[in-house]
Amino acid sequence: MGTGKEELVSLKCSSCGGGLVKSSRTYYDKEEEEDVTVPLAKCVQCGKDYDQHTSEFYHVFADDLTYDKDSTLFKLGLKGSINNVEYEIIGRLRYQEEEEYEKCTWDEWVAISADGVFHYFVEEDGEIWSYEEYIPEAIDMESDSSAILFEGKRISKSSAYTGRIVLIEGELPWKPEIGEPSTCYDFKKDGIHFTIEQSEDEVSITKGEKLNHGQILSAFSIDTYKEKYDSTIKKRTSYGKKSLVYAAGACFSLMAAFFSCFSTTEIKGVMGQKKVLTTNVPFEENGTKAYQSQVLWGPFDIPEGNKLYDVSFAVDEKVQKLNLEWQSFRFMLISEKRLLDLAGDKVNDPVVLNDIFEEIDAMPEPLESYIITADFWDEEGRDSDGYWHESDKSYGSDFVLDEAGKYYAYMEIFSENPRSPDSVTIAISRVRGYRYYIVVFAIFIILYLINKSKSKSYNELPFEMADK
Amino acid sequence: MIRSIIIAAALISSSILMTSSYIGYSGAGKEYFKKVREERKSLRAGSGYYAPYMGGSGSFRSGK
Repeated sequence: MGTGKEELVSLKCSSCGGGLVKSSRTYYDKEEEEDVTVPLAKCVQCGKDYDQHTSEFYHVFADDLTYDKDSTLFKLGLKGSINNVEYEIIGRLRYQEEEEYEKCTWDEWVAISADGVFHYFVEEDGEIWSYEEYIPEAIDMESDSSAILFEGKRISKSSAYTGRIVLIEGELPWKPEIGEPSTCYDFKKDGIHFTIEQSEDEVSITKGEKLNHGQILSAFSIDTYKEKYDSTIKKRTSYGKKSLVYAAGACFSLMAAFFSCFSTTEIKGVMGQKKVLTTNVPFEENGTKAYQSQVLWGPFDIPEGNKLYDVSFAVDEKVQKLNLEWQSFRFMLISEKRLLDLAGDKVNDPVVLNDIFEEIDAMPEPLESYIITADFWDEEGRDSDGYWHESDKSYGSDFVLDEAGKYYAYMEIFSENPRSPDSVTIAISRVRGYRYYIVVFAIFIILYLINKSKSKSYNELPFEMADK
Repeated sequence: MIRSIIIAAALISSSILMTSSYIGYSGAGKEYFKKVREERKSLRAGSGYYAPYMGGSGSFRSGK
């Protein structure tokens, strides 16, 4: 194992013997499209840089990669029994993945069994793996430059990653050094996990299985963490169940929204009977010339009161295209009873109707039950992106109608150019609201994600744990 | 767990209640009459409140 003396020696620059310090280098990353700063070890005397592909780098940055070395489940000297085999933890190595600038470490705990066989426990990202030496029936690492042949399975060499030793503790069966590289291949064959570790002068093959923290706590009688482990598992299970409740709520809300969204019933005969009161009457307002048409559709039957209705308008371009012009309208829903009160038996007389609609805005008591104003437009122009052509040729609005009965649809249509009154279509449908289901769905999703995350991350233990 | 069931039930109930009560939607009929009657009472003659609607260009780009 490494000693303090060796570390001091290797902290010197290999070129001039000068001291090494932490430094950094900034360069422009083409992929990230921004300046990136990466750590480097630097000689204070000759200025030579040592990047993460050198052993010197790990000597200088070891403290940044081992500050949490005591936040582990295993400890040196632990004794326990798994599958009736007794083990004692005798040594430990911590590796850092070479390609990562941030801390990305795993701990390899070396155990020796009662009959003198070495065994390895790996702690990484809250998971524990138990590895034992494995002698393959056949392995060929050299004849193919791009792959390793392992008992007939091809393992691509491009899947390799390099680990660098950053911490050495205890008694180990060989003499590792800080910064020493080891090329690793992790793969699965016939459902079993294997790891090939290739260092400068040896290759070791191990097969492993995943264990949970509960098994290790029990096997090694680690009572210190038992209570916190049980509490963590209980809380995670609870968060998991809560997330299921919220997921069910989200599903219900979504289904309710879908059901409501597609539950529409069209009111028949809205455009069945039509009286064109005026057509393209020219007028001028504030220096703008325009044309006005008035149309009365109906009566048609709205069979249910206290219900939500949607009225939609559109330009019918089969009748007349809307081309680089505007058209606006004022729609009124008028109860037949209200119109009959004013027109009496002359409800079909255009002259009487014209008189009524002439005064419609001056009546102290409104004639209409509801009013909607909107416009359609078609425009083109040029901006910094070049030519554009946009249009809006439809409009929709929801309202709650309190009384069922017969209704008229009255429309005043204003346009820049003379336009056919038939070029505007109206459709009224009985609909169901769904906005609150969508809001509640979003709340459920947020609650689900929070609880799902806590069901994996809640932890009272001083080390990472991935157990569920 | 029980708290999450209560929260879920409350959220679902409130969404059903608000949907079935049509909260937040415009009202046609009596509600509209009341609103317009009040508005017209407060308007002076000739204020032009109900001038013919000429929306014209609805585009924010205001091209032509």
